[in-house]
Amino acid sequence: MIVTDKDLELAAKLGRFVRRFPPEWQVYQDWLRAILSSRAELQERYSVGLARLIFRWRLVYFGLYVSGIIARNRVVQVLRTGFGMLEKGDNTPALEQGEITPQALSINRTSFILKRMATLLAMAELTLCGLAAITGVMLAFYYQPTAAGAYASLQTIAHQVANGDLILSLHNIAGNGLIVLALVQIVVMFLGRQFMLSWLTAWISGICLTLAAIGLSWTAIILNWDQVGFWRFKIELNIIETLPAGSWLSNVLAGGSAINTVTLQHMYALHSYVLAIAALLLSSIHLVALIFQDSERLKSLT
Amino acid sequence: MSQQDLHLTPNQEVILAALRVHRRYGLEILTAIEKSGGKQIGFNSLYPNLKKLEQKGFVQSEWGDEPPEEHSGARRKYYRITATGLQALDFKQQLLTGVATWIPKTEGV
Repeated sequence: MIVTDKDLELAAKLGRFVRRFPPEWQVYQDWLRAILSSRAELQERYSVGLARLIFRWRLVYFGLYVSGIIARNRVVQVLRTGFGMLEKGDNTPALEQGEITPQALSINRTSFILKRMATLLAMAELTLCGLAAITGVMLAFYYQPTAAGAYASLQTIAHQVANGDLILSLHNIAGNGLIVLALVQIVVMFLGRQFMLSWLTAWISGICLTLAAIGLSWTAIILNWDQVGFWRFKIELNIIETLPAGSWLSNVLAGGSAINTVTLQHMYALHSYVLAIAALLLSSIHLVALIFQDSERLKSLT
Repeated sequence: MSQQDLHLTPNQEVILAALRVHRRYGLEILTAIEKSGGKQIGFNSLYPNLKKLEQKGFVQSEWGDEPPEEHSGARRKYYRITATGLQALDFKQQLLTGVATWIPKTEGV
């Protein structure tokens, strides 16, 4: 038997997942069936290990491809309905081009706009996260996380590296923009609250994303290694020390009692590896959860 | 329909050719191509190409009578070539014939 129960369970899970999106399920279910039907042929042609590997790869490819299609369709739908609303300027949401059901007429317009806005904001947040990540990687090519080299390397980036100033500015704008959008998003989501699992996931991931964005900004203050950053960090570290277990936390963050290269390296690691990756993951989860919320809402209307 | 609209990729051309006479389901298309010694198509590229052909109106699909698959509940679909699909295949054939029979103009002495 080349296919284990686990593989079949994975196929069944994929089937259940895609079935949540009826239009895509209608189009792509025969592909999933073909993968499952191809077991016998794989068994004839290949060794057990290779056949199993090919079968799993087909399932994974199907999952990735169809998820991509679902995400693309939802984004297009969000943009279309968003623009449809603006163009119509009336009290009815446009679900599909030219398709307005009686149920749709009863939807509260404000709630509809808030949900659309939340999804668009989530897309903007993910874009900013991506921009910050790309420019961050570019900055990391030249940045030196040492007390002696940090300031000088940033000056080099700003004044000598080609387009360094632009990349640095984009990184700053993306980081600050993310905080602003994440805070606005909290308010928008609160106003359009809908007690569903997808909303709750988006809400919690949104709050965590806001905290991660603030954390990214906070860990960046010392990375410049200039007077303002140094003294601000020192004061805030002293404030942390007043908290319960604050001196331990302060020691962990600063890497000792003094602010030096070790502190800079700690902040750099937190900023570039821990918080940046967390922000990217959280913004992705946030957007996916909101897309799910939209799809559930649309499903409830039809 | 313009020439651009009738454009087919090599994979799409082989898939359409496999559907020229009979309606077939996905795996059957692959088998038909393989057994007749045609251009091999990867399993993972078959369905995306079929969906593109369907969107372009070159093929149309219909549900098979088979019961849904027991684990996933997925049903089988059969694909059938349309008149536009036949037109696209013929256009491709004409193009190949044109390429084969083309001769350079003789220049005056």
